[in-house]
Amino acid sequence: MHEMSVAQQLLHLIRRNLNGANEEDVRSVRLRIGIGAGIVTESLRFCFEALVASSSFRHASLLIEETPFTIHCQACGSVSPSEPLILLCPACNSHRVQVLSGTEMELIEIEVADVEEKII
Amino acid sequence: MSVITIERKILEKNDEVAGRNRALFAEHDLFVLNVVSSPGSGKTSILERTIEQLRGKVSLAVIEGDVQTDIDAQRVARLGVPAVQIVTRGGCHLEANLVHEALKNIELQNIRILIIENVGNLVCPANYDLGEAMKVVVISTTEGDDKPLKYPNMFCFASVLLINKIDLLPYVNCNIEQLRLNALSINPNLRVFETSCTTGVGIQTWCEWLLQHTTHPE
Ligand SMILES: Nc1nc2c(ncn2[C@@H]2O[C@H](COP(=O)(O)OP(=O)(O)O)[C@@H](O)[C@H]2O)c(=O)[nH]1
Ligand SMILES: [Mg+2]
Ligand SMILES: [Zn+2]
Repeated sequence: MHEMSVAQQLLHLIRRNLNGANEEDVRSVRLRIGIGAGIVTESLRFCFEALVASSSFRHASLLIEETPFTIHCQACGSVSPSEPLILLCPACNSHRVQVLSGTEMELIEIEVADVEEKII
Repeated sequence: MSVITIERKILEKNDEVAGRNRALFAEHDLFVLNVVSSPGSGKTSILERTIEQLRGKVSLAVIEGDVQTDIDAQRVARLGVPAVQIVTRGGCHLEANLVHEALKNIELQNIRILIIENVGNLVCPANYDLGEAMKVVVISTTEGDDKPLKYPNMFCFASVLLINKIDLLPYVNCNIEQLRLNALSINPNLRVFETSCTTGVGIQTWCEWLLQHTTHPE
Protein backbone atom coordinates (compact mmCIF):
# COMPACT_ATOMS: atom_id res chain seq x y z
CA MET A 1 0.00 0.00 0.00
CA HIS A 2 2.90 2.36 0.67
CA GLU A 3 4.69 1.46 -2.58
CA MET A 4 3.63 4.77 -4.13
CA SER A 5 5.24 6.72 -1.32
CA VAL A 6 8.38 4.56 -1.64
CA ALA A 7 8.47 5.18 -5.42
CA GLN A 8 8.22 8.94 -4.81
CA GLN A 9 11.04 8.83 -2.26
CA LEU A 10 13.07 6.84 -4.79
CA LEU A 11 12.71 9.55 -7.47
CA HIS A 12 13.76 12.22 -4.94
CA LEU A 13 16.79 10.14 -4.03
CA ILE A 14 17.75 9.71 -7.70
CA ARG A 15 17.44 13.49 -8.23
CA ARG A 16 19.78 14.13 -5.31
CA ASN A 17 22.38 11.77 -6.80
CA LEU A 18 22.44 12.68 -10.49
CA ASN A 19 25.86 14.36 -10.26
CA GLY A 20 24.97 16.76 -13.05
CA ALA A 21 23.43 14.15 -15.38
CA ASN A 22 20.04 14.90 -16.94
CA GLU A 23 16.92 13.16 -15.72
CA GLU A 24 16.07 12.36 -19.37
CA ASP A 25 19.28 10.35 -19.69
CA VAL A 26 18.59 7.90 -16.87
CA ARG A 27 18.17 4.49 -18.52
CA SER A 28 18.00 2.11 -15.58
CA VAL A 29 17.58 2.18 -11.83
CA ARG A 30 18.82 -0.78 -9.81
CA LEU A 31 17.31 -1.54 -6.40
CA ARG A 32 18.03 -4.04 -3.65
CA ILE A 33 14.82 -5.09 -1.90
CA GLY A 34 14.77 -7.70 0.88
CA ILE A 35 12.01 -10.29 0.74
CA GLY A 36 11.14 -9.32 4.31
CA ALA A 37 11.01 -5.57 3.63
CA GLY A 38 7.23 -5.50 3.35
CA ILE A 39 7.36 -4.32 -0.25
CA VAL A 40 5.32 -5.92 -3.03
CA THR A 41 7.82 -5.61 -5.86
CA GLU A 42 5.20 -5.80 -8.63
CA SER A 43 3.32 -3.00 -6.96
CA LEU A 44 6.48 -0.91 -6.58
CA ARG A 45 7.23 -1.48 -10.28
CA PHE A 46 3.70 -0.42 -11.21
CA CYS A 47 3.97 2.78 -9.15
CA PHE A 48 7.44 3.57 -10.51
CA GLU A 49 6.27 3.14 -14.10
CA ALA A 50 3.17 5.23 -13.49
CA LEU A 51 5.27 8.04 -11.99
CA VAL A 52 8.03 8.09 -14.59
CA ALA A 53 5.73 7.78 -17.64
CA SER A 54 4.77 11.44 -17.46
CA SER A 55 8.10 12.74 -16.12
CA SER A 56 11.59 13.46 -17.37
CA PHE A 57 12.59 10.00 -16.08
CA ARG A 58 10.45 8.38 -18.79
CA HIS A 59 13.39 6.44 -20.32
CA ALA A 60 14.30 4.77 -17.04
CA SER A 61 13.54 1.11 -16.42
CA LEU A 62 13.50 -0.48 -12.99
CA LEU A 63 15.69 -3.47 -12.05
CA ILE A 64 15.01 -5.12 -8.72
CA GLU A 65 17.40 -7.53 -6.99
CA GLU A 66 15.65 -9.41 -4.22
CA THR A 67 17.76 -10.43 -1.24
CA PRO A 68 17.01 -13.49 0.93
CA PHE A 69 16.09 -13.26 4.58
CA THR A 70 19.03 -14.43 6.70
CA ILE A 71 19.56 -14.46 10.43
CA HIS A 72 22.61 -14.76 12.65
CA CYS A 73 22.19 -16.82 15.81
CA GLN A 74 23.95 -15.47 18.89
CA ALA A 75 23.53 -18.81 20.67
CA CYS A 76 25.18 -21.20 18.20
CA GLY A 77 26.82 -18.70 15.86
CA SER A 78 25.25 -20.08 12.70
CA VAL A 79 24.04 -17.94 9.82
CA SER A 80 20.92 -19.34 8.15
CA PRO A 81 18.35 -18.42 5.59
CA SER A 82 14.90 -18.26 7.15
CA GLU A 83 11.30 -17.67 6.22
CA PRO A 84 10.93 -13.88 6.06
CA LEU A 85 10.47 -12.39 9.51
CA ILE A 86 10.67 -15.60 11.51
CA LEU A 87 13.10 -14.83 14.33
CA LEU A 88 14.08 -18.38 15.25
CA CYS A 89 17.37 -20.18 14.58
CA PRO A 90 16.65 -23.27 12.45
CA ALA A 91 19.89 -24.91 13.68
CA CYS A 92 19.41 -24.72 17.45
CA ASN A 93 15.92 -23.21 17.96
CA SER A 94 17.28 -20.22 19.83
CA HIS A 95 15.39 -16.92 19.76
CA ARG A 96 18.55 -14.90 20.22
CA VAL A 97 18.91 -14.06 16.56
CA GLN A 98 19.80 -10.95 14.63
CA VAL A 99 18.50 -10.14 11.16
CA LEU A 100 21.48 -10.03 8.77
CA SER A 101 19.69 -9.33 5.52
CA GLY A 102 16.31 -9.37 3.89
CA THR A 103 14.73 -6.15 5.15
CA GLU A 104 16.73 -3.70 3.02
CA MET A 105 15.26 -1.18 0.60
CA GLU A 106 18.19 0.40 -1.20
CA LEU A 107 19.02 2.22 -4.39
CA ILE A 108 22.20 0.54 -5.64
CA GLU A 109 22.99 2.47 -8.83
CA ILE A 110 21.62 4.18 -11.88
CA GLU A 111 22.76 3.95 -15.48
CA VAL A 112 22.96 7.14 -17.52
CA ALA A 113 23.21 7.41 -21.31
CA ASP A 114 26.33 9.05 -22.76
CA VAL A 115 26.11 11.69 -25.50
CA GLU A 116 26.04 9.30 -28.48
CA GLU A 117 23.33 7.14 -26.87
CA LYS A 118 20.90 9.93 -26.25
CA ILE A 119 17.37 9.66 -27.50
CA ILE A 120 16.55 12.84 -29.39
CA MET B 1 26.43 4.12 -20.61
CA SER B 2 27.94 5.32 -17.38
CA VAL B 3 27.01 3.95 -14.02
CA ILE B 4 26.48 6.16 -10.99
CA THR B 5 26.87 4.10 -7.82
CA ILE B 6 24.55 5.33 -5.09
CA GLU B 7 24.10 2.62 -2.41
CA ARG B 8 21.67 4.50 -0.19
CA LYS B 9 18.47 3.60 1.62
CA ILE B 10 15.40 4.63 -0.34
CA LEU B 11 13.82 6.00 2.83
CA GLU B 12 17.02 7.70 4.06
CA LYS B 13 15.24 11.07 4.42
CA ASN B 14 12.68 9.51 6.76
CA ASP B 15 15.45 7.81 8.77
CA GLU B 16 17.33 11.12 9.03
CA VAL B 17 14.33 12.93 10.45
CA ALA B 18 13.53 9.97 12.74
CA GLY B 19 17.09 10.32 14.06
CA ARG B 20 16.45 13.99 14.78
CA ASN B 21 13.20 13.12 16.57
CA ARG B 22 15.04 10.51 18.63
CA ALA B 23 17.70 13.05 19.66
CA LEU B 24 14.96 15.48 20.69
CA PHE B 25 13.24 12.76 22.75
CA ALA B 26 16.53 11.89 24.47
CA GLU B 27 17.21 15.54 25.23
CA HIS B 28 13.83 15.80 27.00
CA ASP B 29 14.09 12.37 28.62
CA LEU B 30 10.92 11.32 26.87
CA PHE B 31 9.77 7.71 26.44
CA VAL B 32 8.00 7.34 23.08
CA LEU B 33 5.64 4.60 21.91
CA ASN B 34 4.50 4.06 18.32
CA VAL B 35 1.15 2.23 18.52
CA VAL B 36 0.10 0.32 15.41
CA SER B 37 -2.82 -1.94 14.45
CA SER B 38 -5.52 -2.50 11.87
CA PRO B 39 -8.30 0.10 11.94
CA GLY B 40 -10.63 -0.54 14.87
CA SER B 41 -8.48 -2.87 16.99
CA GLY B 42 -8.80 -0.43 19.85
CA LYS B 43 -5.72 1.82 19.80
CA THR B 44 -7.57 4.96 20.86
CA SER B 45 -9.58 3.06 23.47
CA ILE B 46 -6.34 1.69 24.95
CA LEU B 47 -4.88 5.20 24.99
CA GLU B 48 -7.95 6.44 26.88
CA ARG B 49 -7.73 3.62 29.42
CA THR B 50 -3.97 4.09 29.78
CA ILE B 51 -4.35 7.83 30.38
CA GLU B 52 -6.96 7.20 33.09
CA GLN B 53 -4.84 4.52 34.72
CA LEU B 54 -1.68 6.64 34.76
CA ARG B 55 -3.34 9.88 35.85
CA GLY B 56 -1.35 11.50 38.64
CA LYS B 57 1.51 8.99 38.22
CA VAL B 58 3.20 10.27 35.07
CA SER B 59 2.66 13.06 32.54
CA LEU B 60 1.57 11.96 29.07
CA ALA B 61 1.01 13.50 25.67
CA VAL B 62 -0.48 11.98 22.54
CA ILE B 63 0.00 12.39 18.80
CA GLU B 64 -2.87 10.96 16.75
CA GLY B 65 -2.48 9.89 13.15
CA ASP B 66 -5.54 9.39 10.97
CA VAL B 67 -6.34 9.64 7.29
CA GLN B 68 -9.10 12.14 8.00
CA THR B 69 -10.68 14.05 10.95
CA ASP B 70 -9.44 14.95 14.43
CA ILE B 71 -11.99 12.76 16.23
CA ASP B 72 -9.31 10.71 18.02
CA ALA B 73 -7.35 13.76 19.23
CA GLN B 74 -10.62 15.15 20.60
CA ARG B 75 -11.35 11.88 22.41
CA VAL B 76 -7.95 12.00 24.09
CA ALA B 77 -7.97 15.76 24.77
CA ARG B 78 -11.25 15.31 26.66
CA LEU B 79 -9.21 13.42 29.27
CA GLY B 80 -7.07 16.50 29.87
CA VAL B 81 -3.96 15.32 28.05
CA PRO B 82 -2.13 17.36 25.38
CA ALA B 83 -3.15 15.83 22.05
CA VAL B 84 -2.10 16.79 18.54
CA GLN B 85 -3.82 15.38 15.48
CA ILE B 86 -1.94 14.59 12.26
CA VAL B 87 -4.23 14.19 9.26
CA THR B 88 -2.42 12.28 6.49
CA ARG B 89 -5.06 12.98 3.79
CA GLY B 90 -4.89 9.54 2.27
CA GLY B 91 -1.43 8.56 3.52
CA CYS B 92 -1.53 5.02 4.92
CA HIS B 93 1.15 5.56 7.60
CA LEU B 94 2.85 8.29 9.63
CA GLU B 95 6.24 9.54 8.51
CA ALA B 96 8.96 11.02 10.70
CA ASN B 97 8.62 14.54 9.30
CA LEU B 98 4.89 14.64 10.13
CA VAL B 99 5.73 13.74 13.71
CA HIS B 100 8.53 16.32 13.72
CA GLU B 101 6.04 19.03 12.76
CA ALA B 102 3.49 17.84 15.34
CA LEU B 103 6.15 18.00 18.08
CA LYS B 104 6.26 21.79 17.69
CA ASN B 105 2.78 21.89 19.24
CA ILE B 106 3.70 20.00 22.40
CA GLU B 107 5.60 21.33 25.43
CA LEU B 108 8.06 18.48 25.66
CA GLN B 109 9.75 19.57 28.86
CA ASN B 110 6.61 18.78 30.86
CA ILE B 111 6.07 15.30 29.41
CA ARG B 112 7.48 11.92 30.39
CA ILE B 113 5.67 9.54 27.99
CA LEU B 114 4.61 10.39 24.44
CA ILE B 115 2.23 7.97 22.72
CA ILE B 116 1.96 8.16 18.95
CA GLU B 117 -1.11 6.42 17.52
CA ASN B 118 -0.28 5.46 13.96
CA VAL B 119 -2.73 5.26 11.06
CA GLY B 120 -4.77 2.04 11.19
CA ASN B 121 -2.76 -0.30 8.95
CA LEU B 122 -0.90 -3.48 9.78
CA VAL B 123 1.58 -3.28 6.89
CA CYS B 124 2.97 0.11 5.91
CA PRO B 125 3.91 1.74 9.24
CA ALA B 126 6.54 -1.00 9.77
CA ASN B 127 8.89 0.65 7.27
CA TYR B 128 8.75 4.15 8.76
CA ASP B 129 10.79 4.81 11.86
CA LEU B 130 9.34 7.79 13.74
CA GLY B 131 12.11 7.97 16.34
CA GLU B 132 10.18 5.95 18.91
CA ALA B 133 11.70 3.83 21.68
CA MET B 134 9.40 0.96 20.83
CA LYS B 135 6.50 -0.18 18.73
CA VAL B 136 3.37 -1.51 20.39
CA VAL B 137 1.15 -3.63 18.16
CA VAL B 138 -2.51 -4.06 19.05
CA ILE B 139 -4.61 -6.93 17.74
CA SER B 140 -8.18 -7.62 18.73
CA THR B 141 -9.73 -11.04 19.21
CA THR B 142 -12.25 -10.30 16.44
CA GLU B 143 -9.46 -10.27 13.85
CA GLY B 144 -8.70 -13.99 14.20
CA ASP B 145 -5.68 -15.82 15.56
CA ASP B 146 -3.90 -16.17 12.20
CA LYS B 147 -3.17 -12.45 11.69
CA PRO B 148 0.41 -12.51 13.01
CA LEU B 149 1.27 -15.14 10.39
CA LYS B 150 -0.44 -13.20 7.62
CA TYR B 151 1.00 -9.80 8.58
CA PRO B 152 4.37 -10.64 10.15
CA ASN B 153 6.15 -7.31 9.61
CA MET B 154 4.60 -5.45 12.46
CA PHE B 155 5.00 -8.34 14.90
CA CYS B 156 8.62 -8.76 13.89
CA PHE B 157 9.60 -5.19 14.74
CA ALA B 158 7.36 -4.56 17.75
CA SER B 159 8.40 -4.91 21.40
CA VAL B 160 4.92 -5.25 22.89
CA LEU B 161 1.75 -7.01 21.77
CA LEU B 162 -1.58 -6.03 23.28
CA ILE B 163 -4.32 -8.58 22.60
CA ASN B 164 -7.42 -6.43 22.98
CA LYS B 165 -11.19 -7.08 23.22
CA ILE B 166 -10.73 -10.23 25.28
CA ASP B 167 -14.26 -9.60 26.62
CA LEU B 168 -15.46 -10.80 23.20
CA LEU B 169 -13.67 -14.17 23.36
CA PRO B 170 -16.86 -16.14 24.12
CA TYR B 171 -18.46 -14.80 20.96
CA VAL B 172 -15.68 -15.00 18.38
CA ASN B 173 -13.81 -17.79 16.72
CA CYS B 174 -10.39 -16.90 18.12
CA ASN B 175 -8.07 -19.17 20.05
CA ILE B 176 -6.08 -16.75 22.16
CA GLU B 177 -3.33 -19.27 22.97
CA GLN B 178 -2.90 -19.90 19.25
CA LEU B 179 -2.81 -16.16 18.63
CA ARG B 180 -0.09 -15.77 21.24
CA LEU B 181 1.90 -18.71 19.82
CA ASN B 182 1.60 -17.37 16.28
CA ALA B 183 2.86 -13.95 17.36
CA LEU B 184 5.72 -15.47 19.37
CA SER B 185 6.70 -17.71 16.46
CA ILE B 186 7.39 -14.52 14.50
CA ASN B 187 9.03 -12.67 17.36
CA PRO B 188 9.76 -14.61 20.55
CA ASN B 189 10.88 -11.44 22.32
CA LEU B 190 7.42 -9.84 22.22
CA ARG B 191 6.01 -8.83 25.58
CA VAL B 192 2.34 -9.89 25.47
CA PHE B 193 -0.57 -8.39 27.45
CA GLU B 194 -4.27 -9.23 27.22
CA THR B 195 -6.68 -6.33 27.62
CA SER B 196 -10.30 -5.32 27.43
CA CYS B 197 -11.17 -1.66 27.19
CA THR B 198 -14.80 -2.46 27.93
CA THR B 199 -14.25 -4.21 31.26
CA GLY B 200 -10.80 -2.72 31.99
CA VAL B 201 -9.23 -6.17 32.51
CA GLY B 202 -5.47 -6.20 31.93
CA ILE B 203 -5.11 -2.43 31.67
CA GLN B 204 -3.50 -2.10 35.09
CA THR B 205 -0.93 -4.82 34.37
CA TRP B 206 -0.01 -3.20 31.07
CA CYS B 207 0.24 0.26 32.65
CA GLU B 208 2.38 -0.97 35.52
CA TRP B 209 4.78 -2.53 33.04
CA LEU B 210 4.83 0.68 30.98
CA LEU B 211 5.52 2.82 34.02
CA GLN B 212 8.24 0.47 35.21
CA HIS B 213 9.74 0.33 31.74
CA THR B 214 9.72 4.12 31.41
CA THR B 215 11.66 4.59 34.60
CA HIS B 216 13.91 1.52 34.29
CA PRO B 217 14.28 0.54 30.62
CA GLU B 218 15.64 -3.01 30.23
N1 LIG C 1 -15.95 -5.11 23.09
C1 LIG C 1 -14.87 -4.33 23.01
N2 LIG C 1 -14.87 -3.28 22.17
C2 LIG C 1 -13.76 -2.50 22.13
C3 LIG C 1 -12.63 -2.75 22.93
N3 LIG C 1 -11.69 -1.82 22.65
C4 LIG C 1 -12.23 -1.01 21.72
N4 LIG C 1 -13.47 -1.40 21.40
C5 LIG C 1 -14.38 -0.79 20.40
O1 LIG C 1 -13.81 -0.98 19.12
C6 LIG C 1 -14.08 0.15 18.29
C7 LIG C 1 -12.80 0.73 17.73
O2 LIG C 1 -12.02 1.23 18.79
P1 LIG C 1 -10.94 2.41 18.61
O3 LIG C 1 -10.31 2.60 19.93
O4 LIG C 1 -11.55 3.57 17.95
O5 LIG C 1 -9.92 1.67 17.61
P2 LIG C 1 -8.71 2.28 16.74
O6 LIG C 1 -9.22 2.48 15.36
O7 LIG C 1 -7.67 1.19 16.76
O8 LIG C 1 -8.25 3.52 17.40
C8 LIG C 1 -14.85 1.13 19.15
O9 LIG C 1 -16.22 0.98 18.89
C9 LIG C 1 -14.51 0.71 20.56
O10 LIG C 1 -15.51 1.03 21.49
C10 LIG C 1 -12.67 -3.87 23.83
O11 LIG C 1 -11.72 -4.19 24.55
N5 LIG C 1 -13.82 -4.63 23.81
MG1 LIG D 1 -7.96 5.49 16.65
ZN1 LIG E 1 21.35 -21.23 16.74
